[in-house]
Amino acid sequence: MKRITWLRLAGTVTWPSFLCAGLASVVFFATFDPRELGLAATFATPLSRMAGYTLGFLGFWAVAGLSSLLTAWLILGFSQVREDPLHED
Amino acid sequence: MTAKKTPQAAPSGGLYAKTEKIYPREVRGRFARMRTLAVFVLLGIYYLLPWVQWNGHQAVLFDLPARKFHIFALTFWPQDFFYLAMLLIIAALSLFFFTALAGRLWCGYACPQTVWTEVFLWMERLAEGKAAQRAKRDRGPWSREKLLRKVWKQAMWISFAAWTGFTFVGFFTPIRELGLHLVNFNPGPWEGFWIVFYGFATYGNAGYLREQVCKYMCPYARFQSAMFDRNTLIISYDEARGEPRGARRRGVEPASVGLGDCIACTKCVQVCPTGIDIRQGLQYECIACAACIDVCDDVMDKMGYPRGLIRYSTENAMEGKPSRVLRPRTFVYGALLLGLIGALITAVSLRVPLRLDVIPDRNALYQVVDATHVENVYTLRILNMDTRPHRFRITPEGLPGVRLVSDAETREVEAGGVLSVAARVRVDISALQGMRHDLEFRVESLDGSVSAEHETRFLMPVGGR
Repeated sequence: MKRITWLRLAGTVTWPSFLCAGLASVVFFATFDPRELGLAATFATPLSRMAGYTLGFLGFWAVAGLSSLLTAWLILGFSQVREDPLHED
Repeated sequence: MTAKKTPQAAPSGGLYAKTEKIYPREVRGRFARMRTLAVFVLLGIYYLLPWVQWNGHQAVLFDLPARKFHIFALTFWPQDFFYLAMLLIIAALSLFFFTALAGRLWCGYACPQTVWTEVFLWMERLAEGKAAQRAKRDRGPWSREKLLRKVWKQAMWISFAAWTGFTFVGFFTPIRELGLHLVNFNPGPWEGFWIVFYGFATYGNAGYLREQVCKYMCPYARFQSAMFDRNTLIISYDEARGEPRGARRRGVEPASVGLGDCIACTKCVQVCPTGIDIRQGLQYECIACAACIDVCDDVMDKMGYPRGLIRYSTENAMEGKPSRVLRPRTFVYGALLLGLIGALITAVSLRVPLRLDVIPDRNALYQVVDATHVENVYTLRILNMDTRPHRFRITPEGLPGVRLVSDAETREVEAGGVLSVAARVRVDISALQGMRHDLEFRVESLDGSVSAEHETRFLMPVGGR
């Protein structure tokens, strides 16, 4: 029985969430200017655009990554025996 | 998340079970040449494009700090998001089209993962020699030579990855300025972050993860099979011709020893960057790099057998059925693709580089002037998306006797500039009944080359007069 490696789990979680975060960032920041968002925030912060894009992207990535991680957990569980759900040899 | 090690988990090295490292054997041939060509063309474009100048500015610059995309003579704004969306749809559809036609062409030749891995492999070869030598040295003990070779490889990898990260950021902030800042060790903190981030991602993905990205992480690798059918060109092993496989001396007629054409040299397995055996049929790990075709053709030549024991073929052809590359699926994808590309080109060439936004004043809905006229005040935002300045005339339209009360006849807006104008619009109080009326603002350049309209509302006093 094949087990999924930690590396593979990390890849499965980080990479798709990275792609989704990229897409989300494009759509979101085409709609909103991060500099104005910074000023309109509850705790108004002067934010350079590059800072806004970067933090926004990392935020999207974190959220999407957390969701991926939960999904992975629900499917696999982090038990000691890690069967490969997709491929069996 | 700490995992307990149990006897069950132990045999293949616990939870940190290491993936067997793959040392793909080097290969020469037609497809290897095409792959090398693709590497040079694609990476050539990537590394050189940010340095190309056009009319005094960087020819291709996705200027995120300024929220403007420069692509040669064109400048795109966030308002032009529609074109980007269209471009993404075209990209997705091209992927469908080429996958239906000839399988994972994208993976084998154009994917950044493949392309950068190829370059990192070249460097590895340069420092540590051929696959067999590398594998042997990696198994052996550390020596001065091994250390030096590893250091040399790391030096090449890291500097190449750093340059890659720098180039990446150079697409988003002017690369010449970025270079200057970098020479002074003073890139912006965020630029610095992205250089390191992208550089590190390149280093990790192309240096270490390699085929695992394709096998475990890539979504396309999983859904591409949905676009396959029995007429898709895929890399196939001709089982009928090859089996039963077995070793024999050079020049021996296969039939005379009761064997097929496959001499069981396993070279097709040794060259495979994902470590599969193509003779077991199409597998999801196969990235269609065609290395096995090249190496098998070479072996067939040496044996004096015809080439193509492993070749691009379709499932139908392999089963001796008629096979058609041109079929409804390719026609539909192709037609859609051509239609969308045509639509995008038309849309971009018809694009008016001017945008007008009208915001009615919220403080005073209307104002009665001299008991004879009603005035509404608006803020007009004129966005000149053209690459040259324009002088604009603003005209309100759609109401009887409507006119603009303004101190300036026309307004100049620089190239890529935004101008906010307060506009007072006046209408004779007796000319209109009812509270709410439609009003249109029209902005036109004096030379008549660009114009834009925006509809808004005009409010009258409650109960008219």
